[in-house]
Amino acid sequence: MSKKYKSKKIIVARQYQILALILVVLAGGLVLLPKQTRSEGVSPLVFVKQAVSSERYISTDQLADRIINQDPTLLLVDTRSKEEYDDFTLPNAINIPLEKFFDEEFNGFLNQDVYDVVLYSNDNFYANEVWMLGNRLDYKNLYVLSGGLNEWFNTIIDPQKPKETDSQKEFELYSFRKAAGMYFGVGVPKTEAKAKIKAEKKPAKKVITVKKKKKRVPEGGC
Amino acid sequence: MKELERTKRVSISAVLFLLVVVIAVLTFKKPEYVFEKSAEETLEKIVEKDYIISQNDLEQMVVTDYEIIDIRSNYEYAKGHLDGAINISAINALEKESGSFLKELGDTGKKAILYGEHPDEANSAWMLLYQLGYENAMVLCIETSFVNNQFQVKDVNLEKPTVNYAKVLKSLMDKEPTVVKEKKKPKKVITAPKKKKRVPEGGC
Repeated sequence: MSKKYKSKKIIVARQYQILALILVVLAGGLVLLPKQTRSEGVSPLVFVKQAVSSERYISTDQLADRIINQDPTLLLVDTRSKEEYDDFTLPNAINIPLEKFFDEEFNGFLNQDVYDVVLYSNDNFYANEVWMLGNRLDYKNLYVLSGGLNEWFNTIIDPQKPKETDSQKEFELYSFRKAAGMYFGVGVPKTEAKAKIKAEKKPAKKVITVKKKKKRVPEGGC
Repeated sequence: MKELERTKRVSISAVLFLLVVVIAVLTFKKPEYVFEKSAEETLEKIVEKDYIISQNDLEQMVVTDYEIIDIRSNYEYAKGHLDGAINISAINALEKESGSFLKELGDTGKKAILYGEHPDEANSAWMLLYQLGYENAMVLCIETSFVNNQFQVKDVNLEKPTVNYAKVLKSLMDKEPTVVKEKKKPKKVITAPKKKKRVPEGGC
């Protein structure tokens, strides 16, 4: 009885030995596998698809509308240098120069899914590069201001008056841009300034009438 | 009986294990395209900006040293393109033919000069190629358009502000208040002559 048991034990052990041997051989095979560079972020196919699409662009009119309506999900990111940012930038924008893309203090702004981050520079170029890096790392909610600050100045700050033959839409867009420009600090349009001056003249007239009342008193005395 | 069952179980599990391994090996597919450069490396290269060339730079290069690649769509390419340009649209950049073509270019040491409708487009394509490991690509800094049946090329100044933003905005802000101030002065003049009128009236 004891002999039988012993022999069976050995048989079972042999089976395990074979299995173990197979595993060892397979594990050895892993060493022979070609070395593969592990790449972070999305696959090249996804990268191309997103890079080719123009979904990332947001127009200056859309952006102005969102700023004026105080959209709480909007986050403006200036991708130009510190000097340019100090000189002029959009209201409440933060400065993340292109070369500081990987700085840890800025990572929280770029890699998140709460805000819609609108990137801009003087034109599209830097903003696009930041966007492409974000695209590579699969950051969500990144947008690019179409035309950048140059376009911003041409449309919102100093819009071109449409021709008389242009459609109603053009005129509506123009008045929207004019109004938006006032929000961003451009002076009151001339026509309105004139209206204000007229309004100021009226109280002056009132002063004159008051003085006339005084005249009546001495007249009565006579 | 019990021992028989045990051996069966062992052999069944062993067979299953081997089956899994075989299936895994058979279905394993190496991804065709892998990014070779990390995002950090790409950023370093981007900041240098030495891969962007103007038309003048291109003219100074030896013609046999480069191949011009038009990354716009076939349709746009058919309408008009730079002399000697080859069309590889950005969407097809990952197809086998274009991949092998670019590899050949790289092996022969030739540069691939990319251009599109705007440098932005070419730059996107460049970033793709660079990250895939093609280091011989360059971006031609031009804007192309098709106007009046003619293919037109224009040099672009990248990231150049069209106006001095701060100055222009300040001038636009200052303009209106000065106008208002100037018109306030004549009001005082008007009130002054009316005072004179009072004197003769009082005398009466």
